[in-house]
Amino acid sequence: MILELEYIFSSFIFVAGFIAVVLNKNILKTIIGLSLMGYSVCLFFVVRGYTYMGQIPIIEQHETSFRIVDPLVQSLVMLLLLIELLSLVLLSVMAYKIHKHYGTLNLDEIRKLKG
Amino acid sequence: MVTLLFFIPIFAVIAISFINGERIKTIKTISVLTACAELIVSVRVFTRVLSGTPVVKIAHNVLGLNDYYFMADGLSILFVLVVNSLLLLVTVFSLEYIKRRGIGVKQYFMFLFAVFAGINGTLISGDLIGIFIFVELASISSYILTAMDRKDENYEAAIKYIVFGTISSLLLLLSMAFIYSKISSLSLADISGLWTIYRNVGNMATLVVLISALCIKSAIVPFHFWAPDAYVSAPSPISAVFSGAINKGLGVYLLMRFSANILAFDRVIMQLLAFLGVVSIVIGVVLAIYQWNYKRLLAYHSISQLGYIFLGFSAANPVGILGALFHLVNHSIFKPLLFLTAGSIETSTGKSDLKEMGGLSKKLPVTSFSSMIASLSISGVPPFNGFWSKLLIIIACVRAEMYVYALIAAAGSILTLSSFLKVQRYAFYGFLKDENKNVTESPLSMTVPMIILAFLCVFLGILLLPGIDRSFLGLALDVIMSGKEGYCNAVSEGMLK
Repeated sequence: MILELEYIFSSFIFVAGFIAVVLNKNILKTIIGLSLMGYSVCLFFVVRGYTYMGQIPIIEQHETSFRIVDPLVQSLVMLLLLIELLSLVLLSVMAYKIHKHYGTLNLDEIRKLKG
Repeated sequence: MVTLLFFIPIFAVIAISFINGERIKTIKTISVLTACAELIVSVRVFTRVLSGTPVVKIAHNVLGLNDYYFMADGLSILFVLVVNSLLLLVTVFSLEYIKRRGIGVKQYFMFLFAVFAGINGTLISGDLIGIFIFVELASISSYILTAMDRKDENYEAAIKYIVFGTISSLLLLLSMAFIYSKISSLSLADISGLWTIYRNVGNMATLVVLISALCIKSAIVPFHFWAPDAYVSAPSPISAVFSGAINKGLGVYLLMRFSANILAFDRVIMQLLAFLGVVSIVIGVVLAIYQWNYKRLLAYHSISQLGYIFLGFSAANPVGILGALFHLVNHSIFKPLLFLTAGSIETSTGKSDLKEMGGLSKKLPVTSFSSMIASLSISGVPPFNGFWSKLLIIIACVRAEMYVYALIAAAGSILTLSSFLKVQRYAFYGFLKDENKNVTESPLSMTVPMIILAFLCVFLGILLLPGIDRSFLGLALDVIMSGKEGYCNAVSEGMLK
């Protein structure tokens, strides 16, 4: 179960984003890392919503003409992308304000300037 | 009825957003009315919960779901009452405070009510989707409130808070994804009924992700780095909201709900929470002693007091959980009170450093007196409310045979007392500095909330009296102790009604 491909792939992207957030001092790279983390979770959700060959679960005698995926996941991911966008936009605004005041986006240098 | 709890603040946000920012009086009237309405609705819901089964509202066709429900049971209503009383007091306090600090009235109240809509929604949602949406609503609004002063040094604190908050939201989302891929449902009742915790890799990964997400929200020790900066840079009433409502509503409530009603007091999780609690008590209070900024000191104490709540809860016996719930109510009273006194000092003298204060007790008698009561209460001096809850928690630790933890909790209480003696000595007693000669006491709208909170600090011990304890804390205790089956039964019972 745990060794399925979507677990590995999306957790790889998630961890990559997390490392970008933790190890980088530049706020822009932090923003990129956070967005990577968000997209990896969305990807995981979307992949889990796939049913084999688009078959409808439970009902066996279904018509072959229409195929489905899990509808809840689709609507959820739209919502999640929107929420992610909101917090990233807010973070970018703060980064812009910081850059306007300190002239740098590096968190270490900002701390030095603050004294 | 239940859904009004978050619809009222959302309507207030919409209404305020249409009003011209110059018409300050109208905005203030709307804000106070909204806060009153919110408190009335929560008392009304409380009486209905008190009279019998939990109040359930089924919402049809939300995101294509048909089993989407909102539920207010004993545990939710405890938090709802605490949070909404705090909202009224903070709103009244803010009326004068933001004028003196020159913060925009319109933006401030819009985001304040958005935060409370989010918290109330989180408290009554019966679905992980709803919980996530409301948590994000509250978090994103609180990110903005952190930088409300628009000073340049505040943006760095805001960035720190946003990064931590976003990571926590994403971890919550990841755990949602794991749970959904296991049981194909995100309703709490379904998760509680269908999810059996076997010790395999998938379940452990889910639990680690979930618990670390909620620990970041409640600012417990290994995840506390955002808290002191955010508390200091936010306006004082917002710091009160942070420690009194946001940490509790988004972090502690969800942790309690999950570990009691879904994980059914899993032993490893409980031990983990007890360890985190003790570490928070020690590290929070030790870091607090060295602080000279009044609000930063209070922020570290907030971390330390949350440790007590975790410790009492993780003893997993009725005494400990009662103690944790009672300490939670108490902490939502004395910590906001301390932050409000910090705000009062800030507006009167313009100082936040303890070294620059001194002798203020003559100039600010009400502030000084209420701060004294809150200090005694937070350090657990007998007649005040903090003593009773800490006593219960320590008794529970001894009963659960966690003797070392009980000892550490008692020692933490003493260190808290010493740290607050320092506050009293440097801020309110000692010599009056020359530049503080012309300081005057804050106006009535700022002192009345402080007096009410101080009054509660003295008399809230009555909540433990037999008879009263069954009707407020007992309701929440029953919900927590009923575990998995109790929660599922309560939901189905409420849905049928």
